[in-house]
Parts: sequence; C-alpha cells; structure tokens
Amino acid sequence: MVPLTHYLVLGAVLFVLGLAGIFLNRKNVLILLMSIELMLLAVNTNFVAFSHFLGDTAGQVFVFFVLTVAAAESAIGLAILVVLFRSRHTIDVQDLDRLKG
Amino acid sequence: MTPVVLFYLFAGILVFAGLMVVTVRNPVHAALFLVLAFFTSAAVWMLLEAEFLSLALVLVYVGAVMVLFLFVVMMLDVQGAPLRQGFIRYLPVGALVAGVAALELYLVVGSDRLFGSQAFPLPQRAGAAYSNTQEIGAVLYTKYVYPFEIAAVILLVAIVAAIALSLRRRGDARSQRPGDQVRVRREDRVRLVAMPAEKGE
Amino acid sequence: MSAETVLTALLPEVLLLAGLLLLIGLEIAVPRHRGAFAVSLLAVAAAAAAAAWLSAGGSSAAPFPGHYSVGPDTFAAKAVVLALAVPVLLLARGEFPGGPFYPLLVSSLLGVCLVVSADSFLTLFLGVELMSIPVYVLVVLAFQREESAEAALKYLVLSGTASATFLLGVSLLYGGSGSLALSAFSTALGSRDVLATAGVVLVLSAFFLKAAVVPFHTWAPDAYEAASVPVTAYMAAVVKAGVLFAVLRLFALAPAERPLVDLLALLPLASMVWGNLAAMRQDGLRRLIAYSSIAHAGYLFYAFLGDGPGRFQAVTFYLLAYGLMNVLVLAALPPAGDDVARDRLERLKGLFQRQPYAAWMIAVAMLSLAGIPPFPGFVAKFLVFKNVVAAGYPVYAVLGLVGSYLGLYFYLRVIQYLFMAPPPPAEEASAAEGEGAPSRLALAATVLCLLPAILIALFPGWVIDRLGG
Repeated sequence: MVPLTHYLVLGAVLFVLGLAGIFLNRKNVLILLMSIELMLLAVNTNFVAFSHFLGDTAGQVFVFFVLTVAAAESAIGLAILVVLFRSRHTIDVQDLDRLKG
Repeated sequence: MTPVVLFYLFAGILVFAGLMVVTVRNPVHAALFLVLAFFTSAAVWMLLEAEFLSLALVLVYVGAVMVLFLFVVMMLDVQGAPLRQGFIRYLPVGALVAGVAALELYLVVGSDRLFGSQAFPLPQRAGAAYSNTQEIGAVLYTKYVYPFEIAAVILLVAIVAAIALSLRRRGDARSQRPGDQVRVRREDRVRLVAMPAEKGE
Repeated sequence: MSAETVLTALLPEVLLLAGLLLLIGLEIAVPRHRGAFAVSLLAVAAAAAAAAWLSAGGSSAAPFPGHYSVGPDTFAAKAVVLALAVPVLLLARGEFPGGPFYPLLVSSLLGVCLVVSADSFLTLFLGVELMSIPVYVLVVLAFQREESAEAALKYLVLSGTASATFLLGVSLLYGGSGSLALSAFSTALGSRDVLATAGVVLVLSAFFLKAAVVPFHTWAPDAYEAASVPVTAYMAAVVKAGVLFAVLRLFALAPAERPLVDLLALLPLASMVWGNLAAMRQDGLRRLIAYSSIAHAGYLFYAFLGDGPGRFQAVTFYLLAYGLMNVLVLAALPPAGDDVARDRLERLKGLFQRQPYAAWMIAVAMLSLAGIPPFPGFVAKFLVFKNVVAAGYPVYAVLGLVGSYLGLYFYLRVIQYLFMAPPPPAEEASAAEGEGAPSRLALAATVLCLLPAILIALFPGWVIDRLGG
C-alpha cells in the first residue's frame, strides 16, 4: 500500500511546479492563473491525504471550500483579463514593467 | 498491489501534466493539460476514498472552471508565441526558486519519521456500506453551516463582481421592452382616419 | 443558544449583510437609482455603532463554536475597521455615484469582520478571501486608466499565490495536529518540530505577502497607484487592518520563540528601510502612500515580537492611528481635472496659499505618519517599540527606530512642498486649473478623521483601555 509520505511528495512536486510556473510565465496572465490552480490542486491533495490517514472528515470539508473559493477567484481573474484585453487588445503583460515596483 | 500500481501511474501522469501546463507554448494546450491534471488528481483522490470530492472536482472544476478558461482563451484569440518571451530569461531564477522550495518541502514531508507508516499507519479500508458523500453532507450542514453560508456570500460577491466587470452599458444597444409591448393599446398604434375615397381616372 | 444571542453576537455582520442584499436588490429592481451611497453609509455606520456598543457592553459569545467567537476585543477591532470605512465611503460619493462599488465595499468589510472573529483556519481563509476578492475588482473600477486592470491582475495573481502558500502551511499544521482550530498555529509557534516550523513559516510568509512586507511587496505600489483615490484609502486603511487582525488571531497570546523571532524582526526591518528609502524617490502621492504603507507594515509586524497581552492593544491602536491619517491625506487631496494629475506631488506646491485647510490636514497627517509627537502616530509607534523592548529585544527596537526615522525625509518634503515652495509661475496656472475646493463630503471625511485623531492624541490611555485586549 502507498504510505502517506508518497502522497505528500506528490503534493509538494505539484506545488513547486505551480510556483515555478508563476516565476517562468510572468508575461502570460492566463498561464499564471493556471499555475495558481495547480498550486491549489497540490494543497487539496495534501488535505485529502491527511484527511484519509487521520480518519477525519474536516480535511475534506476544507477542500470543498477551497474549491468553491478558487472557482470564484479564477472567475474574477478571467473577468479582469477580459477587461484588460478589451482596453489593450493583448494579454501580454510585458507592459507591466512600466508599473515596476 | 493494484492500488499501488495505479497510484504511481496516476502520479506520473499528474506530474507530467503539471510540467506541461507551465512549459507549453500554447495557452489552449496548457488548459487541456490542466484538465488532464484535474482528471488524474480526481483518480488519486478516489484512491484516498474521497469519492465525493473526486467527482466534484471532475464535474465542477473540469466541467465549469476549465471550460471557462478555455472559453476565455478562445474568445481572446491570443497568439501563443509572443507571450512566451522571457521564458528563457526567467528560467534560471524560476528553476532556483523551484529547486529550493522542492528541497525544503521534501525535507519536511519526505521524512519517514514524520509521515512514515509508523506515525501514520494505513487506515482500514472502508466497507461497501460506507458513503463518503453522506458523511460529508452530515457535517457540512450542521457543524460547518456557518462556513457554508459564508461560501454562499463569496459566490454571490463573485457573481456581482464578474457582472460589474464584464457588463458594459452601450449607448447604441437596442433592446425590447416586453412590458411596454404587452401594455400597448389599439389606440396607440392604429389611427382610423376618414378620407374621401379616391376617384379613379 | 437562543436565536437572540446568536443575532446579537452577529449584529455587525447581519447589518452589513442586510445592507449588501438591499444594495443588490436596489440595483436589480430600480434602474438608475441614487440610493446606493445612502444605504451603504447607513449599513456601515450602523454596524460600526453596533460593534462599539457591544464592545462597551462587554458581551462575548461563541455562536458557532470552533469557527466563530466574539468578545469585547473583537467587537472593538470591528468597530475600528468599520469606523475607518465611513470616511472612505464619504470620499467615494463623488467618484462613484452608484453601481457596483458599494456592494463590493460592503462585502469586503463583511470579510474583515469575519477575519476578526475567526476561530478556525476555515473561517479565517474564507474571511480573508471575502475581504480580498472584491478589492481586486475595486481596483479595476477606476476605469479611466488602463493600468488598473493590469495592476489588479498582478495583485490577484500574487494574492492567489499567497493564499495557496497559506493553505499549504495550514495543510501541514492540520497533518501535524489533526485539527483545523486556529490554536494549532499558536501551539506550533512554541514547538521545535520541523513540521510545525514549516507550517508556521509558510502561513507567515503568506501574510507577509498580503500585508506587503519586503520582499513580497511588489504588488502594492502598482495596485495603490492604479486604484482610484477612495479605493487606495480603503486598501491602505482597512484591508491592511484586516490582514493584521488575521495575524493577531493566529498568534493569539503566544509569544514568538527564538528561530522565528529573527524572521519576524528582519523582514519587517527590511520593509521599514526599503519602504522609507523607496518613498523618497516617488513623485506620485499614491505611490508614496504605498511605500509608506510598506514601511508601516514593518512596524506593525514588529509588534508581534512583544508579549501577547500588550500586542493586541498596540496593533489595534496603531491601525487606528495609521488608518485615520491615511484616509485624511487622501480626503484632503484637492480634486483635479483628471486622476493622474490629481496624484502628482508637484501639484501640492504652494497649496497653503491656495487652500490652507487642505494643506494643514495633509501636514498633520504627514507628521503623524512620520511619528512625531504629539501626533497620534507617535503614541502608536511608542507602544510598539515599548513592547519590543519589554519583550527583551532592545537591539531590534533600536534598529527599528533608526529605520523608522529614515522616513522623516519624505514626509517632511511633502510639508515643504505644501508651505514653502511656491509653484513656478507657469505651472501655477495649470496647477490651479481644474483644482476645485474639496467637496462637502470630502470635508466631512476629513473632520471624521481629524476628530478621532485629536481624541486619541489627547487621551491615548483612555482609548487603549477601550480597545480591551
């Protein structure tokens, strides 16, 4: 049988991939949003694994809420993206450097 | 033995899909790889006996959120190539951050002392009568009723926000007013005029 | 527990929710109505009054055990946050005659109230999200400028990353303790376990990002600049307060232990130094406020070095003084022809000759933000640094003081602009052009900021006692 560690390593790998995606795709907002989804998926996998091994439903309920909020957040992100595209006719955020902090 | 093989199979596909999401050129392909990642994680969650969430992930996430992503990608008609500029430039720093993060996370979650089979023995497989959905439903509307209500408010706010962002009242838009159409009376539209009959030549 | 007790405990939230539903109903049922401002002002003011009243009455309850609880201190915190939102609403009237601004602002406030009372990671997470999701959209609502959408996306992506990091930390804490109660965090603070430490560090860095602490601050100047004036005021005063209250809930009364103390001291220290240094180079007022808010986030996190009991009072007092002064600056800022022109620091030159009242208000706020006695910002800083010394970290306290007085330069530069520098004659005409007197509501907002500020400057002890803790 598969021990808990392996599930957690899987979650960690996915999370790190999402994090790397944030760093690698600074210009494409769509991929940035997808990277966040990937990170949340990793976290959810962690919660489900812990929930299973602890024999406690709380973790699964938490995942339920994370899914809800993530759906809301990505809907908003896409809506803002559409607004950006309407005003600029590109979603290339290279011009973001103008706002350099 | 089968669950072990299945786990490694799904985990392999999942990691591959995740890698492709952040590296492919075309946003449509990235979205499709993300769909693959969601499907395989649903399978992994199934192995963890979280049937309800697993199906919710497929139905809600793949069915709604990812479709929304694809819809936006196609509506915006973005060209893949120019968006990838700077990928190589950011590769070293991205790889460095990812490497450090992976190492640290591995040190925490990879240790057998913390999460090995001693600390977390394999739980008993649930019997055929066990219903994951029932169990979640039983706590969701009792113990977690307040968070549930807040989640409802969050969704409401998201609806308001999305409409606020994408609804544009255009000055030249024409629309029907059904109320006025129903309420219209004969006198408003038809006027009978008495005219002398025209005399033919 | 009877329905009455539950409703009393939830009274501020119920009032906000009623306002929110009324706003949405109005928007749907009555086309082109003008009531949004009045409804939201009424709801927020009533909720603030209810929170203050319940705090004074000393009531406490746990209507949803394990998820949500209230006490005099949480009511006081809610009263502070909601009271800060009232002048923000007054400011917004001129810019947003109606539309989605008001329901979004009210729902974000609802999120802040939830954060303040959260007892489990679940409610804390939902509260933080309910607080920030409307703000992304509020930033975009300054439709005049196309940077808004970009800055909002940047904010959303970084904030989403922070949420994911927070959740990863929570998942580790959940795995270690088997519980989603917030007490898992304060227990983990004292533990030397690698798992607990990892969870704590992940959760903390997520909140560093949300509060814009160096090196996670890059979104703040862009978002503050791209948003319109009332939204900037809201982000600087209320959202920052919400994030800090979340961290207060997490720490509870637990002291910070050794390996963590350095993280809690060094990043905020870097934040103070960098925020103050970068603020010197800005020529826009909102970017200046953003960098100043980065520095202030540093002072606020410094308070967590101190011992538990004094921490709540110090942070709440600081947030009150700092929030009032930020809103005061933005309320007193004279309106201009367009949003970009309004932002330019150059335009403040010689403002004293043209509009003495506005110039005095901005000057008071700058001196207070700089932490000069007898202004309220001084008392707030004094409380924080006193606690840091009392907790046995005099070196960090001295370094922090040095870092904080780096900020003097740019605060005083603004004052110099206001009083001493006459604008060059050619620019005088263009500066005065389109510069109307502040609207009556903006004047009311400055009064609403100034009166409490005078109160807390004259009677800090009395105010601190009211804040409970």
